[in-house]
Amino acid sequence: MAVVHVPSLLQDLTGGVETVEVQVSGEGRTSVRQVVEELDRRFPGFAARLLWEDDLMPGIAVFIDGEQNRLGLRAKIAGDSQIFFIPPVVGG
Amino acid sequence: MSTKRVVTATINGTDSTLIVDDRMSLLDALRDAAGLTGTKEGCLTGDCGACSVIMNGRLVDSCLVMAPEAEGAIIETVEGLAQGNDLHPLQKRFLEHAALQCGVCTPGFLVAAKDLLDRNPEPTDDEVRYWLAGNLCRCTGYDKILRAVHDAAADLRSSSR
Amino acid sequence: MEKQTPGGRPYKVIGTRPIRHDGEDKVTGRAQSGADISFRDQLYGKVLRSPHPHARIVSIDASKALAMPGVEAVITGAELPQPHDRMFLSGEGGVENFRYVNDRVLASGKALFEGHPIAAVAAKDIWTAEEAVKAIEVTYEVLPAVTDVLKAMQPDAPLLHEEITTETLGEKKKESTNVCRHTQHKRGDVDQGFSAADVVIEREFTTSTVHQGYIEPHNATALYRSDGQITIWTSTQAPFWVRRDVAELLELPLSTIKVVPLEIGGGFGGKIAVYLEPLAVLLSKKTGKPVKLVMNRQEVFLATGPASSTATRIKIGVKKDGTITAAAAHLVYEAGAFPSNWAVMGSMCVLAPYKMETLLIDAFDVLTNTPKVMAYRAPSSPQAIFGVESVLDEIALELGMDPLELRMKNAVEEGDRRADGPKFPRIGLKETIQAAMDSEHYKSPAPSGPNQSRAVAVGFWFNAGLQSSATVGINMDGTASVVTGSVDIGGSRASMAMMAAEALGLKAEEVRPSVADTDAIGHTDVTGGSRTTFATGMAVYEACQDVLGQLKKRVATLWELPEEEIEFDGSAFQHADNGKDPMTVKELGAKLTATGGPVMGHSSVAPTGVGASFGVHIADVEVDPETGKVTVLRYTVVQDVGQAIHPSYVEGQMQGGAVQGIGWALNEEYVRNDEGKMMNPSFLDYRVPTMLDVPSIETILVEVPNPGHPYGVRGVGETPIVPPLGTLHNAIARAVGVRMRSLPMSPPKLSAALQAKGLEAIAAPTP
Ligand code: FES
Ligand code: FES
Repeated sequence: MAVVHVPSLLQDLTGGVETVEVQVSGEGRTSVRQVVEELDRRFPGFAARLLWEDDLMPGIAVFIDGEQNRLGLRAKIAGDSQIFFIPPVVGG
Repeated sequence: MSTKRVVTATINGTDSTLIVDDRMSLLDALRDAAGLTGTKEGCLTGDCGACSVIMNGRLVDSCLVMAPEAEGAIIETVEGLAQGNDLHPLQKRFLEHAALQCGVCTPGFLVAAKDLLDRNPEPTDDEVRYWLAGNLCRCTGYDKILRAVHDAAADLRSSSR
Repeated sequence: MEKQTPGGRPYKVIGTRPIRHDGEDKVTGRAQSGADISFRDQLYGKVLRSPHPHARIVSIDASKALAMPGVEAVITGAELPQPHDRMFLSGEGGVENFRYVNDRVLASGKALFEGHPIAAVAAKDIWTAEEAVKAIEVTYEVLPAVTDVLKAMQPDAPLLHEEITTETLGEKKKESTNVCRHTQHKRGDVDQGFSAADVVIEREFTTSTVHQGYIEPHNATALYRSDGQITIWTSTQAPFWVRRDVAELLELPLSTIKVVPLEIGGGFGGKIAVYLEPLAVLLSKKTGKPVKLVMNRQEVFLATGPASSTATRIKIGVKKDGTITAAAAHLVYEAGAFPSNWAVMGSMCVLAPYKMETLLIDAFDVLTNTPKVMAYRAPSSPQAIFGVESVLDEIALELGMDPLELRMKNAVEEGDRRADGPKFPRIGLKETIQAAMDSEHYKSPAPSGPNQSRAVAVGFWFNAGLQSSATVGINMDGTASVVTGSVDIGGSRASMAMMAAEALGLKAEEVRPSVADTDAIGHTDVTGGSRTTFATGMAVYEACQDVLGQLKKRVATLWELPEEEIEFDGSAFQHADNGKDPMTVKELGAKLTATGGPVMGHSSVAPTGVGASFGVHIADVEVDPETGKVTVLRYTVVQDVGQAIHPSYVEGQMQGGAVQGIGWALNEEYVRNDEGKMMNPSFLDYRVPTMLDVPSIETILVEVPNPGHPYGVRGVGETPIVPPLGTLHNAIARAVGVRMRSLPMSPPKLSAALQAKGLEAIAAPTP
């Protein structure tokens, strides 16, 4: 089971639940897009808050196991992935 | 309306004839009329020292001197520090100590430090800090500059012995 | 495998201190920055700026200016293409909308901050341009302005943008407000966490607006040719982003623009955004001549940078043994006149150094009639962590615990989760705290004279990866040239050359590094985010591997042996058992022509494996109770630097960052009058530290190699600006028994606080 850490501002949709487990089909075949779609089925409105024009909301990046993955919705996850949606970092 | 005039000055040992505008500062004259862009501009109000030059033996902020005042003056800028390809000990020590990061303050520090060492060959920490307090560096935190100046002072003392 | 190459060999070049390759030009005055170039037929540009922090622009009449002899063009906001919504990645990590960049570069409709560009002029000389700017007649309808973040949040505050509502992750509120974004991070039940604590302390803090304060003002020169090709010469941290921004703003094809980065006199995050570049291009288009614009210092203060002022509330609960059970942070950040993401960044930094089961962070970005806030070295981290480090200092005193021990007890390590979620990879906070504890400074007796004390604080920055490109060419004498797209702001040419030399078995002096313009190298992101040595260094390393792969084939040809049997051992190509003399890259140079021609390697990377960096600072201070002046007696920076490539420049980053932080803590601030105008836009009145104001900053390099980089590099440059705020605050509190909780702790503020506290407090400090 992969674990999605629900951004706290979306936890109104999950009834305050902080993490949600999602089934991963085959190793390396499930994409972040499928995960978001799955969450949207379970928590209607989830996708609308996270996506913008078929991509992640500007200013939101997907972090898988501590690393930002630039493929965004196309990134593939593993059976034990920890998934976060947080802003990317640049700096001065 | 603009008034142009000719200013003759000795810049880094060379007699120079510059056509300047009356409204120009010495900094502008050096950079625009003489093409010596080593002297930098950081504030134009005499607060940063990036434009430091030695004029008639005195350390000045060239942004505060009007170009016509330079008539007949002897001016030393960063471009005059090295003798040909022989770098001044200050230049060598700045490089060795990594006493510059972006380097925009460096010409001003070098000129101000040279002026200090011309007057005081063995300055204390406090004397260096006091003399160079008119020069701002936002990159280095000053420690490496201080060390470079002390080492250069020692070089100059041993070479003049 | 500490202190070794990926092949397990000791470093030969990395960790040494060669003279930087561009050094000579910088000490002889030959180095050219943006203000140093000029063209025979160039025009001088000048910007007309709003004198009002908030005003409707009723009309602009430039006819008198245009009629002046020598004036060749005037542009106003009406001449920029219509603003459009388009998001892009900017220095602040999150994204910005080009609509607002457009409006920031040249006002349309309203002036939103003092110094907001209203029009720009090109003329034959700077004096004519200045006169022309004065001759432009602008009618303003002055509006009430708000420059204080907390006031700007009030429902009755003057509104900057009617169309802006609060955005909270995908949802927009209905009402117009200056609060443009709300961010939240939550873990567990924070109330339960606080009830499990033995000691809970909650405090409020404020910090003032500060400026990056680079010594070189912004500059840009542009030439718009008749064939539509554009060249921009500028001092920027991000030439490829300048190209993108100008293309986007002026609706030009990216490929028509070439940006030539000249030497840059400091940036610290403040030279990422475009200010003058689009104006120079538009003015050049109108006149057909190169147009040069250079800001003066006042313009730099009024209209560029700065870093957010903040109002924060920090609450931390601990067990008697010091274990943190819960923390809550409420962060309000000045955005300036256009939407920003600085509170977003602050929310990710504020609790990052510590482990805790429960936490709650709420952060708000707030619009104010001040210049749009830009990145400043570890942007948003100093203001956020300042409050946390102060509360922890109070907790340490309350528990009677050593302040470093308290930090050690709660410090994050590999596998712990950052407050905003993801797990940390290998990091060196614990090693850094330990090194601080073991330092001669910390072990020496703390200063114990009247009004003297010692204190510590921790700092953190993520560091960035982004994208970089590099090429490495082998010369016919076997030396190498390295070309990257990363502007060298503080010695990075040297570190690039050193990494290439290490990889190729050459000496640092045998590699010539250079920085290319946007036509001459693949896309490379900003020099910022402490990413250059890490990411561009990785591109250089990979390009060297490309070179080595090609060279191995050449050796195979020369030796008439199978490629697979040949190894490069870091110094030379070897063959295990056929008695061939090893062959170095140096020796191969002359043999390239005969074995197939020149060899050049290239690489473009978007690396993961970024290593976060932590620092601990120790300060000894003395306060003059009469004047409120703080003397920093001794100051030490301890930091995990991964692997130091050129230790002198690593130390320099640590010292320079610390001194900027000291300035932030003690003196620097935007002072504004009731109308919201800045009263101190000069280096005379905005006091950055001079050589007299700071002691020699001592440095301790802790090297915990970053496993995400072949040479263990982690970013270094930003973290050191974070701890000074808390360190000096705590030292002052311990020295005189007054917790200021408000920056800067300038002499007038501190002496007033001391007076208020009464003289007994000074005589017998009980912090
Ligand atoms: S430019 Fe002359 S002192 Fe700053
Ligand atoms: S080295 Fe950049 S200002 Fe001194």
